[in-house]
Amino acid sequence: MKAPGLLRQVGWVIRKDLRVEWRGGETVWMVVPFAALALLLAPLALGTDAALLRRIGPGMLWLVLLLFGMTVSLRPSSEESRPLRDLTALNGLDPAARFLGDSLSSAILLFGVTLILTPVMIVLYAPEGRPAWDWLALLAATGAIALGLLGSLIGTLVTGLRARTSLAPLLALPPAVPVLVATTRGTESAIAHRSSIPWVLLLVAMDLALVVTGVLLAGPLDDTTN
Amino acid sequence: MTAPVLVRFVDVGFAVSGSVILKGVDLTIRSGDIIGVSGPNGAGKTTLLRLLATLHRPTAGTYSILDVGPGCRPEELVSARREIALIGHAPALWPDLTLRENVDLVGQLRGDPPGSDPLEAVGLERAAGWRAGHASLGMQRRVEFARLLDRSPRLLLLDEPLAGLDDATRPLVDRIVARVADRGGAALLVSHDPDAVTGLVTRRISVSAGVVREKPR
Repeated sequence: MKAPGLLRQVGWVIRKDLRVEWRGGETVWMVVPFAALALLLAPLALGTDAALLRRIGPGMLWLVLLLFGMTVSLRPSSEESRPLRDLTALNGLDPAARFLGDSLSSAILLFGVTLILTPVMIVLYAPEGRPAWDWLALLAATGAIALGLLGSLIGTLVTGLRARTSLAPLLALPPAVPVLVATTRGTESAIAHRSSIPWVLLLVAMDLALVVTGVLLAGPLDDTTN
Repeated sequence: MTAPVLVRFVDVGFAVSGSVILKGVDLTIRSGDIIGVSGPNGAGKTTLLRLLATLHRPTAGTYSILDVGPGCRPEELVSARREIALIGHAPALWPDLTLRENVDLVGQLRGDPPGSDPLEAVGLERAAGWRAGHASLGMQRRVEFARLLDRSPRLLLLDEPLAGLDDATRPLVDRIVARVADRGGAALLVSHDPDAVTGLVTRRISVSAGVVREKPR
């Protein structure tokens, strides 16, 4: 029997990851409430300066999403044990399919979290705004994909390392900067009901660059970690 | 006529960070071989198994595993790996998924058509909905063997295959091993206790302090 192609393997990884997440419920029960709480606490600490809140709202939203996005991508359940990695390798799973599947399953979870948190941010930080919801949805999708890819790439780089949790943020910092800038500035534009197209295009370019980097590195890195 | 060679190791060694785990391994595995591998803890038995499974690359010597050697193309490695089955001493199951899902997922990854219920064959049909993490070690091992019932790998590698299994399940291991050998494959059964491995073995080798030796029959 011939092995399924790359796209079917990617679909297999996504279905498996989401099923494991559904059973474990780490993202839904841990990440979302804490992320919403973080967004809620900042206005309480800063007071009622509406102009200040409007200015920092998008940055707060995506900073929280970046932090929790990394948590989602690097959560213990996303790193499979050695026997499970051996099992999937011996049954023909392409390392590139593993990278893409892990990234997209994280992106799907992050997209859901973003859809919940964006209205929370608007209510708390910019209630008088007239958001362009279509741009916000597009930013949520492209931003979630970027964070999912970034998290999986960093996760692949640090798999099996003892200093995994402390090394991951350092490695994530340089590529996270353009993602954070694009999502924040794009959200500012969307809240002001302006086009966010330059920022969406920057995110799409980041997504493509991360896909190419991850796919090219997946094989060599998998051999190393094995 | 001699049986076809499935694995050939010539002076193979394996070291990690300068620490030698295996050295000077000369080993030929032919179609139909059922090899019992014994040796004390830490001798290098599991490393030998991982080398044979292509999950480690030898750091010395020359080798060929199911026609795959150093410098093979990635697709050749993937193709050879699909003909290797490894059951390690730690169960390879997703703990949050059910026993049924753990069997079905691997079949879907391989692209195998759904066949008869393998969980029924290992007496686990009533526990199929249990989460793997809640099942006993013996049940988890039976799920791993259930995954092998519908396939016939060319190289079957079992690390402490009888650990956690009750007496009633042990014949299942013998059946799977015998079928692999009958169909032109080979099996390696690793155990720290040389008497624990199945009575089907045709050759015995020992591993001690990183050195592999064939034992007289």
